[in-house]
Amino acid sequence: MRVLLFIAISIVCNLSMLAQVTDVEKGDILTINGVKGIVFIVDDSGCHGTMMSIKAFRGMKNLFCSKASLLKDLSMTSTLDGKANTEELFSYVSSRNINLAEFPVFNWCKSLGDGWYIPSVEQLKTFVNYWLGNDDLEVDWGDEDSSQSDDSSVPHTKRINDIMMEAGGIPFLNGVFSSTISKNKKVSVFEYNKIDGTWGFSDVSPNKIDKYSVGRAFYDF
Amino acid sequence: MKHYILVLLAMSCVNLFSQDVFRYHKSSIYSIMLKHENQEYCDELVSCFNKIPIPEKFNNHNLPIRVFKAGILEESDTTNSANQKAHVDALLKKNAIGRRLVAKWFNFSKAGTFNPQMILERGYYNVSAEDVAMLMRSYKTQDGILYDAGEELIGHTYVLVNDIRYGDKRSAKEKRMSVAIGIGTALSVIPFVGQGIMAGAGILTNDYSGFNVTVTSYLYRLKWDKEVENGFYQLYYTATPNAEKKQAFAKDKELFSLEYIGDYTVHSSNSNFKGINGREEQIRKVCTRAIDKAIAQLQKKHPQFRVRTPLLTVSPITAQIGLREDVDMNSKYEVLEVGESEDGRTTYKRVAVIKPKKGAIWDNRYLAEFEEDYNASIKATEFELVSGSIPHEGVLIREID
Repeated sequence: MRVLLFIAISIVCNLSMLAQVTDVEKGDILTINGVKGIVFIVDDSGCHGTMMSIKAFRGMKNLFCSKASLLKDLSMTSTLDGKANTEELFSYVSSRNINLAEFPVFNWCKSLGDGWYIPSVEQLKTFVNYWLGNDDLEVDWGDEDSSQSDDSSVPHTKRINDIMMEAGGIPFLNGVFSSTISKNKKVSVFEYNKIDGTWGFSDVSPNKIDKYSVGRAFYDF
Repeated sequence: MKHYILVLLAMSCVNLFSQDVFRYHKSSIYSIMLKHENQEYCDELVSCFNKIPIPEKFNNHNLPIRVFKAGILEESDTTNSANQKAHVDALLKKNAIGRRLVAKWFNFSKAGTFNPQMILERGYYNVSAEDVAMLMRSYKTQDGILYDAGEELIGHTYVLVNDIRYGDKRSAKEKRMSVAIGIGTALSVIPFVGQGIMAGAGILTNDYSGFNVTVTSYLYRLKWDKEVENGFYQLYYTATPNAEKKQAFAKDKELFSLEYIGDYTVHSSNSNFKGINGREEQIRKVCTRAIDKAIAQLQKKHPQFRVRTPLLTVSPITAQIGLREDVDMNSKYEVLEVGESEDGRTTYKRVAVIKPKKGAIWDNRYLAEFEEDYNASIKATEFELVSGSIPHEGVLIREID
């Protein structure tokens, strides 16, 4: 009974917390079910947007899936909707009675709570553009209407990483992969050259996503 | 309506379009640079860009901030030379550049007031008590002048966004050697004269000859039509402080917009750096010429961007345009007689067509005097008549297809 009561209270708290989200800005850290994320998309109302987990899943082999054979009937082709890809995987393992632990990053994602998902390649690009400062277009004109701009001498990537680290997270770096599986059964992995600023995605077999890669989860609020 | 009348009063006048050949309506331009912070020579390119003057055939309409960060694009998107278009669109909108250009035209003050002084100066519209009296009697004339200012001046406000990218044309081997001995970073602190006697002189020379830029210039035009004009005068224009209007104007990011016209990419050719005594000057030469070339080509491609230039003399027919404006033997120009309509609007009537004379094109490019085949005796391009006649001095010319 006590457990049920605790669960009920937790749900109410979380719901009320979600309902109270207002005036959110990009770069804010929000906490959902005790999991922290950095906001990188927010609508004009300041109430709705998307955030990325400040912590990441890394440090082990076969982050995406343990065996290539498990991918045989899995499509997850959406380049736009990581939530759909993630839900498809959850349904897949459930319908086939496969242990979710065979897909470590999705298992971790599930552990974060409802609503978290592994981003699609386009969603990951959106975060990358935010991280690189491509969205940070407004400069300080020194007049009343222009927003206060941050110190432009510090690279935008560092500013975002500093926010995540101060909140107890780990910086966004190379190796983050998406949930999109291409037609040739490859997953796009983010690559960034810090020296010349070039970036892109390389295609890697899902069962070869190694310990140097990083899983990140997104959450829409 | 009060504000509207105030504008009219301030701009009140008979349009005494000057007969002075160098007093003509010019287009206005705001020149921007996109910088790539992760690329070599970024600081040097920014420093040089800030020193490049606005071509004298335009009014300088620069705003206080002229250098913005370029978008850091995904590698697969960098193959297209005009790949920063979406970034530039967003940049201009987000920073309300259209509104800021209008604010500059009307001398928007910190108190929130406007005045038409810049329009009067650039339009050569004279103001006198008699003119004011005339205004009071006839709105039509003044409406004409207001229209004229919009058509001739504000409506010809351009934004040129120059995406300047450093391109190293040295061979891979030369680059490796340069990096190996640390020249890549040390170069900026080595005086040019001292570099020649260094052990790596050959490489240094290559480093210079290898300096090239690719400039993609994106051209935009301030949208200034009846709707925008009316919106501005009705909603925001005030000659006396008005906190409400000031705040509303400062927040407006919709009414004043920019129309995209086109873009042009220039890859700087291997330049002759004879007579240049420093890297900064070298970079400035490469950049200035590349931007001039882009402007010239954008004018060829987009007639609305073509500027008018006064004829210097009628006999012989000369004008101070040349290689900088990409004048060549295929160029043709219309000769325009400037007039004024009954209601005070400026009119242009084609009276002749001219083309450059062979061997008489002026080399007015930046630092042209150091070019090997530079002819110091030519100080303006000489033209010959194709058709029509030139009635008198004080006419303008404009390129035609």
